[in-house]
Amino acid sequence: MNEHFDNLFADKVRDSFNELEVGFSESSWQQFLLKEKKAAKISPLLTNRILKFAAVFLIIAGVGYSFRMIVTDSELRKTDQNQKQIVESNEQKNPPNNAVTNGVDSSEVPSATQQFSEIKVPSESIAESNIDPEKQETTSVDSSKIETSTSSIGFAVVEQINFNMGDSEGANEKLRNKSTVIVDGKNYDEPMIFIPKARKSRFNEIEFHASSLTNYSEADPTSSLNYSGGISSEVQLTNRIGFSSGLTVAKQALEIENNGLEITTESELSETGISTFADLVTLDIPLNVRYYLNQDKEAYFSLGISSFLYLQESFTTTFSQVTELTIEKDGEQITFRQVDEVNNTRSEEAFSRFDFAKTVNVSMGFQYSLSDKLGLIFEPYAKIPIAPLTSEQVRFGSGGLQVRFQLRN
Amino acid sequence: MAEHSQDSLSDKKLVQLCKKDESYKAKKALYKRYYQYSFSVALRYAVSEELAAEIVNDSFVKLFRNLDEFKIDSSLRSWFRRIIINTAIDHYRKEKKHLENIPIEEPSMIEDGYEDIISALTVKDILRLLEKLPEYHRIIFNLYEIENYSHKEISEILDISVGTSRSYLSRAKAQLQKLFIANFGERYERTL
Repeated sequence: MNEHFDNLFADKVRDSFNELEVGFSESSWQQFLLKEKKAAKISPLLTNRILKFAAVFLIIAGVGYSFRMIVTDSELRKTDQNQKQIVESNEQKNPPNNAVTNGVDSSEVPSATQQFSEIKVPSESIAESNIDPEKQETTSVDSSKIETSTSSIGFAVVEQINFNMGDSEGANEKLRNKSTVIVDGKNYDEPMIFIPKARKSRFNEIEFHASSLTNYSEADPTSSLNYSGGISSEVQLTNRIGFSSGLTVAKQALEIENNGLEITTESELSETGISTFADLVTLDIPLNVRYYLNQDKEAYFSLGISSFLYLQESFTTTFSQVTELTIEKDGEQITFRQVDEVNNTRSEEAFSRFDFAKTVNVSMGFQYSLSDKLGLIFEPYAKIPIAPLTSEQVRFGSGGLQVRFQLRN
Repeated sequence: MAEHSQDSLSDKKLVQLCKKDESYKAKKALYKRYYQYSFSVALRYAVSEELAAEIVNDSFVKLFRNLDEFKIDSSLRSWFRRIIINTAIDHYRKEKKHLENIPIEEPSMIEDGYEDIISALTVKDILRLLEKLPEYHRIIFNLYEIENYSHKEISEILDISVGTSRSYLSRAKAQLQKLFIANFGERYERTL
């Protein structure tokens, strides 16, 4: 008998709960989102975000450094080749110097740390081989007539010095001043010494920018006016192509969801007219490539991607909650309906989310020179979403006019 | 509008969308679809609506975080049910580390005529009975009688012996009968 009761009761429990009607409510969803965020803080997802951010940082730093090295090295190579060509032509013009070179013991090639005056010069052998082409037939040269023996070193030595001296313009200047050769009271042309230019950074432009922008999303076709500002820099890859990156802080506010009027009459509690507004402060990390339309760089077309960190992420969901209350009075049932407007705000912590490469940036820039060092750029732009953004996973874009104030090296 | 279109998608499709992290809308659609079900399961363990809501949300967090482990061709409902049950048990583990030492109930003498009363019980009536059961009794009753777990499975989940599980189930049933008479005795006598 008792077992029958147990079985019957268990069946009743199962059926009752399976048939239990609990309406979904927006507030429970909001509570879930909060809980999920708290859980995410201690989850490995956080590590993933940090890794993504680190990846972007390394990409920017790596690409920038690589381009800088490529450009500088190719510049050095070009300079080297040009100088060698000049040196070769000078060698033909100035055989005595060439002769001097032959007389130098390569084991005594000075290091960069040596003072120029310390460089040992085998003056005798120089003297022996230092022959004026006009006196080809003369085989001996009086070494006492070499006035600046310490500086009449051949090209091999000088070249070596300069390579080791690296970028020191001052050192190169010293070399240049001491390189006159006088043989038999006759001045020969100052030898062309290979002086590589100091490595010049290609990060030669810093731009401060500010813009007004409008955001757009499916739920917010009218959009609102927002603003942004930041700093960026450009690396020249070729005469026409540049790579630019930087940081932009943008204040963005827009409606991201609007479910319209939706009355549910089945449940006692129903929610109508749900809409969600987002209030965001984003840190935009763009990676753009600029193509200059002319050599004067008066106009360019830019294309790239943007990643976002969120300094502020706040969502306010507004909905009307309808409560029905039925009371019985004098055997008659009277139903009251009460409509309350409910605002539910959810905020995320700063830097808790990182959206990697979520928009495509397209822009046109028109550049005006204010002076040699200053420029002004007007750049209409659009950011087109390619994936959902924010913790609410909404697709929204932005567009506006950016004004860039350019400082050149 | 987009959300309504998500509502019509299959579980499989929604799970795929959630896995891609494409949209919170897919998550929300899945949440909406399984909210009632998860609440009804959680309420049996939690008894109070507040705690049930907490268990539901914790379960959804686990569901979304572990979607990669879900085999797409299996039943989401069954998988999620296990998550809810485990989450409910975890709640009690946090609250109570040890099993309560409840004295063995005297078997109650229940006569015929209770069928009609049982069939007339509402969810609130059942909750009134379940909430009076000691927590582990309620869990074991739910696991064995409602979820059809074996005593061996229960012993593994709760880290108790099979004998303890059997013993707690017997006590739970005895208590329920007693509670039934105590709470609905009036109705019972009337029907007799």
